[in-house]
Amino acid sequence: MLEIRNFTKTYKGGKRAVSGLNLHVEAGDIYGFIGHNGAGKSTTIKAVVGVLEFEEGEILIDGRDIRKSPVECKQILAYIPDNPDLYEHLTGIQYLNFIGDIYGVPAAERKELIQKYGDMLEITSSLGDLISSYSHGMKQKTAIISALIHKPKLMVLDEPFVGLDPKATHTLKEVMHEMCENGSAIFFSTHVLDVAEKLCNKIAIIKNGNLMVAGSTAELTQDESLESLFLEVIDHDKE
Amino acid sequence: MTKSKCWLLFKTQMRNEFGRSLKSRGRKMTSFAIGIVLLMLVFYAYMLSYGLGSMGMAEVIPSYGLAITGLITLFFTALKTNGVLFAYKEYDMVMSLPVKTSTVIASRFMTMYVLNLMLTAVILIPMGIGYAVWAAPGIIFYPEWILGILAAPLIPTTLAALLGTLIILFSSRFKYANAVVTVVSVIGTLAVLVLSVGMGQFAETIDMPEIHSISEMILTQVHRIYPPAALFFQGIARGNAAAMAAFLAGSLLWFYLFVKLISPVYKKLNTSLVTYHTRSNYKLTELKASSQIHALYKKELKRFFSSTIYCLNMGMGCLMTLVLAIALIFVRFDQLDQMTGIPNMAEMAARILPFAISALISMSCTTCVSLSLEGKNLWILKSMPIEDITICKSKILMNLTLQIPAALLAALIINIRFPMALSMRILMFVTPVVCALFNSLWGMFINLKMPDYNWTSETALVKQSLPAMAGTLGGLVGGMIPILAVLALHQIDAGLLTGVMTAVILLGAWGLWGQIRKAKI
Repeated sequence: MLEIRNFTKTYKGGKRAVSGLNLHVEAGDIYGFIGHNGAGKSTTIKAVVGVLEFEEGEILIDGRDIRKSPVECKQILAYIPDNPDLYEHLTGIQYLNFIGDIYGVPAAERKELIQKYGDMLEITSSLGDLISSYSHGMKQKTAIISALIHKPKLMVLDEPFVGLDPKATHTLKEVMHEMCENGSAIFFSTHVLDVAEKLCNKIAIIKNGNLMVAGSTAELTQDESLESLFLEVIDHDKE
Repeated sequence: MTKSKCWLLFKTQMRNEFGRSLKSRGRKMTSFAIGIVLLMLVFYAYMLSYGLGSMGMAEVIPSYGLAITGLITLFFTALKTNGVLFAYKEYDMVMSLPVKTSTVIASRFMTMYVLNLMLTAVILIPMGIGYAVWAAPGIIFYPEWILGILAAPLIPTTLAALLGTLIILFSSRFKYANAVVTVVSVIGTLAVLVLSVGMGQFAETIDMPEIHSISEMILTQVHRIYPPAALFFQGIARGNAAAMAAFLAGSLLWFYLFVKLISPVYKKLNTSLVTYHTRSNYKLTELKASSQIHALYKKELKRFFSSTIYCLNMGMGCLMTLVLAIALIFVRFDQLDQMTGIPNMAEMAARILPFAISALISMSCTTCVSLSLEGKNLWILKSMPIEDITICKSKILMNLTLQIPAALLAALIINIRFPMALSMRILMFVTPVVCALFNSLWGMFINLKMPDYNWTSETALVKQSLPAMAGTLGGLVGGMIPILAVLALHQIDAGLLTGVMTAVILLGAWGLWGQIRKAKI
């Protein structure tokens, strides 16, 4: 579903954020992307969803190159950034309807899905209010619904659990499992190692723009916790 | 201690206000453009005082200058209150500091005061020079004038802050609060326009032999509109030291009272301003599906009408076109020469009207900033399955939605009211539409070339950024060139000349479209 081949991103001024990254996310995967602050997680995610231009490497979404066929790739993608800055002059429902229009979701279907996910995340009654009146968590919930109403094959999330209340966090995890059972794939970054360990069937750890380890969570952690593995990998160079 | 805290807060705010804009892209060009505008203001202020002096009305200059700066300060500060004095982004952080509320208010107010002082100085310094040239005042005039400049912004800034607060408090009761602020502000702008036109007509009726009584009349009127000007006039023109002292003390006292009065209710006011109107009783009903371009277009419309600064600044050209169109209903073409005192005015008006309408509507150029306005929301568009050209089309359509109805209405009224050749009747509709198209594409083109998504102040982006100036002023200047050409080449048939120039503009629009299609967001 997502294939990253030798992806390298160098910012103006020569700072190399990511160096020769290779990753493979398959349908049905919940793939956790772990790293410390500034490791290159958000840079990779932004390049995957077509928000950030890059010069070296290839990113394929369902076999299509994001740079050569951006519209086709984005049609099957959904992206939720770490800080969901939505259109504050729109109401929640106006924003969701706007997203439905852009992705060409039939009116009846979008209504059904908005109702379903709105109720699950307990935000339906607030959808008539302006987004400018929403808290961070409410914006996050609206962004999640907007990502789900067009039934993406690949959902990419940057720190999705930050700002969500415990109930919404639980709901999002359920939704992720449901999507994967239906053949979609999830690729998300996180700092919360407990969540990654329990939720993800695959993980990758990135450090200073370099991929340190990647693979099945069970195989990588074996008898130790993900936290121990992470600290071991991160502190490896220091020793 | 309190003073130093106030100074520290003020210094940080000024750094915040100017620091980033000085580092932003196109800094030199923006500074150059602002410099040109300031120079024009200086020139205008000096010529105004020189003109009054040469007509033997030098004593009007102090009152006139103070009233002009007072009105400008009042108008611009009222729109700025929200975001500077109240409901600013760093409110929570500032109010949690160990600083008195009155110190916070004083520091916030100082920011508004210093910005207004700059504008006041730009107008009052050249007017003071004009006054010194014609009235040859004593040496005491110079320190008094400088003190006057320092005190001048205090009363209007405070009044504007109160007015702005009232407007915002009123609008915060509504769900679409910004739209209410916009409507109230548009009404205010129209009132100022009507008032200034009224004053202009009054000035045009001046008869030279009656100059002294006219001078008295102007003073009476100005002092009635802006009473502090009477004290300033007495101090400067009549050498009344007590009046000057009263003006200075009154300005300071007014400011002191404002800070003292507002301090106890400051937190309460801020809370009510940032408390959003929510119902939380929404029930999902039938949803209507639209095409991509229609959805983007609706979003653009909502963005425009939800921002007072954006709507008021970029809608001004169309608003003025509508005011002109309505005013033309009451003008008789055959009396234009007599009314204006300019020979052949009627004939001249018929020649220039298609481009005059075009120049006016071109001041409403939303496309020159609409892309930059995406700002932190840009990720939404960039991650969506849409072509860049579709986004551009929606922004161009939004601009045309503003410009074309205003242009067509003006053209219709002119067609009904004024006799002219058939070719000119048709061009009265065609030329402004073509110019609107060119202007919309021009704005889009420059915003694609110079986008700024990292802005922190919407006001600075809409009013002072280089693309905004290139779009709105460029449109106005671009409209003036054909007007000058039509006037200069008066021996050539107006229809033919206008038609040829319209065709050239259409060609230019086609060229711009080609560039926009290739551009990437």
